[in-house]
Amino acid sequence: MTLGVFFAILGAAIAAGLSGIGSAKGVGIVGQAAGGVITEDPSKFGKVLILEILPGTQGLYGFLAAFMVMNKITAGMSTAMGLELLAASVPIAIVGLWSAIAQGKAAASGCSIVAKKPDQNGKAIILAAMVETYAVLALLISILLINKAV
Amino acid sequence: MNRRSDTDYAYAVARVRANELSLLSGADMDQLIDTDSYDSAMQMLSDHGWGELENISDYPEYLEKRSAETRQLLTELLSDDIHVLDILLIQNDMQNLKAALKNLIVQQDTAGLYTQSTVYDTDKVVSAVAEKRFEDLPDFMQKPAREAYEVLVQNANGQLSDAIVDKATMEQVLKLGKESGSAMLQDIAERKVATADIKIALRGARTGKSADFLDRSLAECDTVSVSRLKQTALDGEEAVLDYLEETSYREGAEKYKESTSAFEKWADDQIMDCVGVAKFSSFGVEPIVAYYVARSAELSSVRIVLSAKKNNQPKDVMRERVRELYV
Repeated sequence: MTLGVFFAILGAAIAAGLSGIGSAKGVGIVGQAAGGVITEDPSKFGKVLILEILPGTQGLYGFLAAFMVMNKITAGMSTAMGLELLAASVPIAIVGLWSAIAQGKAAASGCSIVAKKPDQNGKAIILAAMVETYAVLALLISILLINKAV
Repeated sequence: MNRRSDTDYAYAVARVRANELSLLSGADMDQLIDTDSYDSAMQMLSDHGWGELENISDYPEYLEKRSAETRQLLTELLSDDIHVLDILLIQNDMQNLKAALKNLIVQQDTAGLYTQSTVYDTDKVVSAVAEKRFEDLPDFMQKPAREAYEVLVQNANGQLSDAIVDKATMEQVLKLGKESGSAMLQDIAERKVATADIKIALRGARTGKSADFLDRSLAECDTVSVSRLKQTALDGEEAVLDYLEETSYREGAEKYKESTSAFEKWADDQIMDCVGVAKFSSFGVEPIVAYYVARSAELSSVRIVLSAKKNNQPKDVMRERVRELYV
């Protein structure tokens, strides 16, 4: 294995790994809040489920970026190419990690909205979904950079 | 105080938010006051989800049932962190201590004398005092318990004995507030102590208490100067009120001039004022403490209304006395 291949694999690993950790943490936070709401009123399961899903998307974005990096890996890849792919993985890795946790907290607050004012759950979803913007932007940049790597 | 991270309370806060739906609002309280009899007031509470009225002999039993439900929920939600409520419950322990000390001097019927909403085991506190084993009491209770007992035995001065225990209570409240690491709990502690000091100063001024009594009653805090309160209390009520005008408690001075019940209501509402910030928090222990305060204030107000209804008091009296509500 060349050093270039090693760096490319490292890039794929941090893209999938860090954003996956963020999603796991984010979904876990909403899960606790959603559990609290459902304990008191099981009929609100459908409403809190949407909030529960939201922070999970960063993990998917990281998986997608990792998959694209892996497709670029070739035997005997140069060190420069490997480093380019590693650098291209950084945006979705870091933004995915932090935005998923932040989105988890926003969605957990949304669960409080659902608990007190169930008819306002649309607003709770919009507020939590706003955080997604930055994960999507980071994914776009990672994809563009992966495609630019030569 | 070793606390979990804020997001660990996400489950508890969500359950508290769901339970807040069942708190009585200002409009509900107005409706309760406007009911035409005690029975219809009880019926309204039952319809609001406060539980069946069957097998309920009187309203204190009904309210105690409601209070026990709240305690059970909070015990479940906070589990090992239940001590965050100490700042609100420790006064009940000290009330029990005062009652137990008095019971040593004047034997009285103990039924209903002691409250069970406490931090420490009531039976242990009461038996330690009954057997004069003050060393078996929690550390912070030992010294004031001994002092208060000596004052009761040597001088038969019940007021000073109570004042010694009350001062120790306030010092403990302040200590718990500072150790909590929560700005809201610190604020609650500070305002509790400050309002207690203000009440002591005003009562002391009205009844002509000595400098020594005030020294043994007033607890140090940050938002009022104990030395100024003591000095003004010796000069009279007007001097205390003038001093309060210089502090953040000027509203209390205005309420005192208005009426005693308006002042008492203002003092009780101070805690509700502190917990208002928790309405906008989704994490942390603050919304849970706020819920306990909200339930306690609701129970106090309902107790005032039911008691007034039972004694056929006018609605204006009830409206003047009911406490500020959380929702």
